[in-house]
Amino acid sequence: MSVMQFTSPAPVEGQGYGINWDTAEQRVQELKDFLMTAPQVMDPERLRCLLDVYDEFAGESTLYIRAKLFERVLLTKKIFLDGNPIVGTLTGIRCGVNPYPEWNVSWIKDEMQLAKMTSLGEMKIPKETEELLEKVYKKWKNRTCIALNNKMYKDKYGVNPAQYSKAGMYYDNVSVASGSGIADYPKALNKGLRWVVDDLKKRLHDCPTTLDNKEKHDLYRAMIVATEAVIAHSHRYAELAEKTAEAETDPKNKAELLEIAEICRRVPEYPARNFREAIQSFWFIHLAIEVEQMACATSPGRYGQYMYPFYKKDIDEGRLTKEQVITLLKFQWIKHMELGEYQGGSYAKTLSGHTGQTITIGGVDAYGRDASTELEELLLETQIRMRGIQPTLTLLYHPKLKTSYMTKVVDCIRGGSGQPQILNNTVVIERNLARFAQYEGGITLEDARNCGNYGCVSTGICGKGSFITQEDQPCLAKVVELLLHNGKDPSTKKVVGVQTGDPCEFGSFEEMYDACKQQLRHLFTISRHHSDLSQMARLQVVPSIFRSVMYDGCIEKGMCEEAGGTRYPQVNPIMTAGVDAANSLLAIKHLVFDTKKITMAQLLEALNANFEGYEDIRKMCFEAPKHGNDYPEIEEFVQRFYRDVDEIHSSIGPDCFGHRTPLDAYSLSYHNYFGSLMGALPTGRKAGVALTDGSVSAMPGTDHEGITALIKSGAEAIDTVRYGANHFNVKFLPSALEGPQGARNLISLIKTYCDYGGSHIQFNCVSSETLQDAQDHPQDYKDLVVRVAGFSAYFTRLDRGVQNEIIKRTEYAQ
Amino acid sequence: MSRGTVYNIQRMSTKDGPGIRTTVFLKGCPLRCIWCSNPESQSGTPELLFFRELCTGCGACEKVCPSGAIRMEGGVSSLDREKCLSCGACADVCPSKSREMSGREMSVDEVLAVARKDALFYENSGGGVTFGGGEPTAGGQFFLDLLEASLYEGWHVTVDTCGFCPEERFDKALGLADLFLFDCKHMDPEAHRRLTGRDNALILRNMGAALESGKEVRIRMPLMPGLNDSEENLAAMAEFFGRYGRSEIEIMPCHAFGRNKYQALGKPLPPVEQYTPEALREVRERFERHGLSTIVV
Repeated sequence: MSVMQFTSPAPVEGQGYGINWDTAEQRVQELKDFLMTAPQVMDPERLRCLLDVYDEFAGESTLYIRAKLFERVLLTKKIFLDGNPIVGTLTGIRCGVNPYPEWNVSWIKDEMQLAKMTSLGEMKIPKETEELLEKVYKKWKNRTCIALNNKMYKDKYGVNPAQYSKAGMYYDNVSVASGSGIADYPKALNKGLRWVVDDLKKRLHDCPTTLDNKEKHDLYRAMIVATEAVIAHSHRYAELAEKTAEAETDPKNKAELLEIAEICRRVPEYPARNFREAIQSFWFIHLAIEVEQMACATSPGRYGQYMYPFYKKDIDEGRLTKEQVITLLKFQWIKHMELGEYQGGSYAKTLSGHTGQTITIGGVDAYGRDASTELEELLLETQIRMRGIQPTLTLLYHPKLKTSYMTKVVDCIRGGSGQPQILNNTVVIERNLARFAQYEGGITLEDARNCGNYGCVSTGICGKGSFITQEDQPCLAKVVELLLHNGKDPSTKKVVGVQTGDPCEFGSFEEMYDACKQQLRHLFTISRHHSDLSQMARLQVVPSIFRSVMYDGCIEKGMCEEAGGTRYPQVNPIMTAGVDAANSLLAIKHLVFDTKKITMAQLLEALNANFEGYEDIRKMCFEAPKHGNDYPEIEEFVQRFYRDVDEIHSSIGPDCFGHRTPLDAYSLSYHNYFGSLMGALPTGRKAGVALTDGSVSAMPGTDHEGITALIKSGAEAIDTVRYGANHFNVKFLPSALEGPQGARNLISLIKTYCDYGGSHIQFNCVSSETLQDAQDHPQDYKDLVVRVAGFSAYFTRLDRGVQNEIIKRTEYAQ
Repeated sequence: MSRGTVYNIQRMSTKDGPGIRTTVFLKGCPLRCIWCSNPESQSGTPELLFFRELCTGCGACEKVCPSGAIRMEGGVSSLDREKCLSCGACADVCPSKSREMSGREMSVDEVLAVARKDALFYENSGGGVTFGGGEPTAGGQFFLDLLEASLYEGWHVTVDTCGFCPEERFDKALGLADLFLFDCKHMDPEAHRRLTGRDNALILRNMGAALESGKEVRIRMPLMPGLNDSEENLAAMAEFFGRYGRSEIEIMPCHAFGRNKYQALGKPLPPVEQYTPEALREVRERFERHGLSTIVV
């Protein structure tokens, strides 16, 4: 892809920034190279702070201890400059990663040998860290969130809940530091943290000293400590830059360092005055939130909109060119990529170390007008040039977006990174209005419109909400497995489901379906009970302080985020493998009940043998009706299934905040994790293989009616307004998107998907490796359609020579 | 309502007219172009396709074949075309889809029901439906009924034709469709007969009518090395199309993508060769010299 030049006037003499632009691009490259090649290292410092602070402040409230821990980390971690004009790193080591054992320590014992992977590759654990981990393990093994969560469950329900997660029914949500949302970054940019501290001091002073207000007192005291720590943290960088400048002989580098010092003295304590200060202020805030609790999907939100006034002013007044803005954004992208997280091997499997820092672009403003900005086009360009994995971009699509803007979006998608992913703005707003109507005080239309992508595919309100993956993440395919084994998990041999009877005795499909609904109700009931208690555990063990400062509502209510302090607190139960469950039921209906090709006993035999020796049954299973082909009667069943899932889930009762919680139907990498724990399924999938990704995608190899059929089926599978999310990945051959006609067709596909009510769609280009694999294993790629020459064809049916030619051509197209 | 044989309905078709389209391929063609890349479309009746390389040798087909046309040999199935009735029984049971029926009789309503599935995609992309083949006009009343029904749906309608069609039927189609992708294979009647099996007088008459109709017409030419790219033919084309003020030709250079289908039908391979990139460049320059501009589609 050719690099686009953005022309803008040169900076006015004497107005520009002190950045040494001569070496800037080279430094970006060096930083990126380091990031891509050096292993990540687990830093010991946070562990040391954890041990010390809990000793020193024993007896204080947990809120205060958490603030002191946060302060200790920020004030004692080693700091360094690495050539990035935006300063501030997560740990004292380049590309260092912090462990968060307060949530869970079992991985220290059980999973140290599992692949130590983060999103960027290998993870190193130095000797010093390992020794500290041992110490922390001893101190914390009975005090962690998950330990407390399970203990509370046992005390209340008399059962050890670990058997459920071990069987793969759900993933323990407090076993990792989790929870995400979009902080009120504009507050820091426009008012500054000094204003926040003053406000907090006044609130503490004015708060009546009654026993009812004890929590409030503790929280405000803690918040003041945390906010002052963030200011002091920036001052440490100011001092370091000054000191480094003294020794610097190159005048251009010296000027850059002195400017860094000046900026770090100013922000985030006081309001930013220009783009350069704003970008640094943003980074200090974002970094501090991640330092306190490194969790997936701490998202910058509408960055291209709240940063726009600073950008516009600098461009207008000749302080920056657009190309320089892109260079600065590249430096910022490096910063986002450097943030890594590691919480054990099974965590790596479920989230692939994904940090989900998502920038939302597009959407509408408070008055319903197109909110997209020119700066967002530069974000897209930066994404094209960086080919990075963080931050990720999400477009809130609506028909009012300008053609030139959509062209840039299409360019970025065609670049092959699969970004930006698309969310349907209309659906998200409608969802917000429906979801938050039940909240005390309801929701304003302005807030509903000010929506954003929290991370992955879930949505909420910018600056005023956060989500806690409060509910354990249930796996729907497991329900089918339990149904077919009378409630007994075949791998752990424990009865963890409902004993709905011998499956061979089901007289009709509807009888079996009713039993399936019983299994679903059971799954949702135990995961809800366990999850509500997990929220109590989280509130008790790891209440977050600085996050609570930055998410609106917490200060006003005097409640931390975990207690439901934000204006729009939400619970997002991430539910995986709905398509596998629906497809399994469809296959049984077709093979056992409708066509009677095989008996239930034969099917069970084949499944229990993992289809070994039952290739014919596996074929039948694979060929049975599947979601994704726009066959009305099939899709009606998929829709019915998802409707029932939602109804059953809602009927369990309100969540711990007292609201109806919509299910978030998406996969993260849970489809991979749960798949590894599950036996064979009636879909033809073998044991241990990943389940279907997304929540409305087709099972790999089973959509054969083409992209329009797939898009329609995907869009309509889930009531995306009632649900909290859907998740839809579509694979594309790059050559299918070539030229202006390809661009228009892609936009039409997006628009039609949205017209049909879909909420999330992401396009992936099929790589030549895939084509090569298809050539070698044609049986697995029966559905792979490729454009040949003026027509489309099933790849596996083409002559080998033609296949080779297409493989070659695809490489060119990439 | 009329019925006809359809051999494929391709959704998300993007090269047969503007936007996102559904292309309906009618089976049966009056011509027998020696380079035909869709040989399964020539006959107007359903036929069996057999992709030998996808056969897994399960033997299910052998058991159901009513005429004993299938035998298992060396782990894969074989097909005796002499005995095959093209009944499709083997295709119904083939688990690996190595056997498939090409063509099935459908009513206008059945075709429309499939095309309607993507109506919103047409609307959002400026697309519609395209009728191709085979030769769609050979579908007769079925073809005309399809055009009319599509117009009632509000769709943009394209006809991809070789132009060999009775005048009266062609003129009716001209009154209905929005865009014609009109093939020009050769200007010389004798050469045309040799390459396609038919004279071109009727085709040129219909081409003239189309170009004068005010409807959008794109002239398309399957370009075959040594068969229709001579100076004389290009000069004749320039003269003919010049009369209608046209000089733009969409060329479709010869490709080998239909070869496996000949094998699947048990037919001998066509005697054509592909252009090298240099030869194609050279032949396009030849068009230019005659005042014709080319676009490769």
